[in-house]
Amino acid sequence: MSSTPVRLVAFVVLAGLLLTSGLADGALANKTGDLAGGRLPDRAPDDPDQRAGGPDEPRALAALRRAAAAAQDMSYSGTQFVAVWSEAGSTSELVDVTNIPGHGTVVRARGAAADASEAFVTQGSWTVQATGQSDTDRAGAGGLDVLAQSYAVRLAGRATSAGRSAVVVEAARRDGSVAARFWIDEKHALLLRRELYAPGGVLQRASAFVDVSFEPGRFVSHLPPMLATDHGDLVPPAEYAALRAEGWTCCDQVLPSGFRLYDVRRSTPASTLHLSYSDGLSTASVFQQRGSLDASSLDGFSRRAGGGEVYVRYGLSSYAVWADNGMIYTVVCDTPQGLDAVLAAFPHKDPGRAGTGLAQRLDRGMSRMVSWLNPFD
Amino acid sequence: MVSHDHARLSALVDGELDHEARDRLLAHLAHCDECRAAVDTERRVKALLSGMPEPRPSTSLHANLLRVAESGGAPAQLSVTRGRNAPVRGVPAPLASGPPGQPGSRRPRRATSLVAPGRQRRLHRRVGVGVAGVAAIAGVAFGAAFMAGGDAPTTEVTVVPPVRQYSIEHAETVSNLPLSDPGAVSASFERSLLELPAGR
Repeated sequence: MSSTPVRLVAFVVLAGLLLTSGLADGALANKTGDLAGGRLPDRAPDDPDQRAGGPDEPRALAALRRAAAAAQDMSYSGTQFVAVWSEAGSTSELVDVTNIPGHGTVVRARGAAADASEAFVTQGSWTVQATGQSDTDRAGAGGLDVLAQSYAVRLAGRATSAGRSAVVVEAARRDGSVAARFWIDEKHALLLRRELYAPGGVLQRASAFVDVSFEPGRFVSHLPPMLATDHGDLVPPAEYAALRAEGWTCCDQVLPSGFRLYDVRRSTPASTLHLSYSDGLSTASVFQQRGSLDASSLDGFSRRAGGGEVYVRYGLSSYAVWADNGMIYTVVCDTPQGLDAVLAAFPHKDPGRAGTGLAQRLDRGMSRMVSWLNPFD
Repeated sequence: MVSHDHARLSALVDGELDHEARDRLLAHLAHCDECRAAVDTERRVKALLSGMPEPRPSTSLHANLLRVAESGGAPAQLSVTRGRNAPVRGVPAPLASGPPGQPGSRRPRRATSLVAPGRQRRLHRRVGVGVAGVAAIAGVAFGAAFMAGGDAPTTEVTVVPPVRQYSIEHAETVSNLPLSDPGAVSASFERSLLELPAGR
């Protein structure tokens, strides 16, 4: 028996133990409750030390900013466990991460062929437009602003993760319930662990280093292909109205679920529009393109129960595809709950006139006949 | 002899006898007072009748006829009265003032009416013709719409969304946001996601 599967199983078991034990050790052990069940007891909203936007918010934000900067500036490598829970089930994966300061991060998924499971993610290749940051701005500054706008952050004590001492920062909703927790390495300020919770306290996404090492001047002999492709052209906010006039669904600044628009891009030629939303914790991408949907080729997707002709697929990233009035929408989101929230904010009822069904054919024919009779058409 | 034949006396008054018969009857009248008195009476009645004005329909009869004409009914199918009370055919019956079949109403109940069944049949026939007409128009319209909507618009291309490409772009956005995890990048590795280009 080869040693690779054994090590893989050992990693999975170790990661599972870490995730399910949560904060069993450390100062927060008696506060977080049972993480194995995925539920956290929310703090009482009237607890003066846990009010949204409490006195320790500046320090909490500073800790998050240091963590965001360390993710780019520090030379580190390690293995991360990423898991997503939903009603459809759970998905998890082990990922090797190697960061090269000033250049980017090598990400490699375990258990797959190397040529299909690794990529190099360059740093600063994406503009956080909503806050006016440019590509050269410090990483994460704009994204943390979105987080601070959506949640109240506060220090929640100290704990250990991956055997390292960490400061814990919480992001709380307006009702006081915990939306996320961050474990930040006390020595190197690297984010060691992150957990996202649904409004009911259910754990919906978690990631954590199962091992990490800090090696200054680490050299990577072979870089995998870059992840980035053609992003399209950045659309300034002044052109949003023109996009709407062209028939695109664009561009609500804040969705009912709290997601904020922070980037709009358009492919060249203008066949696809890409809207990026985030609340600082989850991120959703909404892609629009004109045409009629060929749903028969959506491999691995299932029709969403009770949601009309919407096809979904859940995993580490969750997907939803549907057509409405000649426009095809594809949403990619970090969490299934976020996917549903974004989906609800976009039109998804009318399959359009381009289909081959009898109703669509009659609708198309009636429309044409009316246009023939209309002298102004 | 000429008997006291009153029928021939009436024919004489009406001028219906030939010359020979009339001469013989006039000879008889010359010595028969009874027959001469009968002829005189007959002539007076005739003169009286010929001097009367022509009979005209009553006001109510005229109004009823006009109502029948307006409703499209056939006078021959209506019960009528001659003069005031006598029922005859050919003259419309006065319209009732109350509900059919109720006291004070001159219209019979529908079930026992000699008029309603025919009218009902006509109504049914008209409704049937109307329904058939609407159905025919709708059928023609749907058929025309079906023919006109035959081909999907050529401007709308059948598209398979390039989900994997979208997944990569999403991973790019996520990985550049602070405090994110590598899960989105890892998810974009999934080879089962479609790689077909848009607008195939």
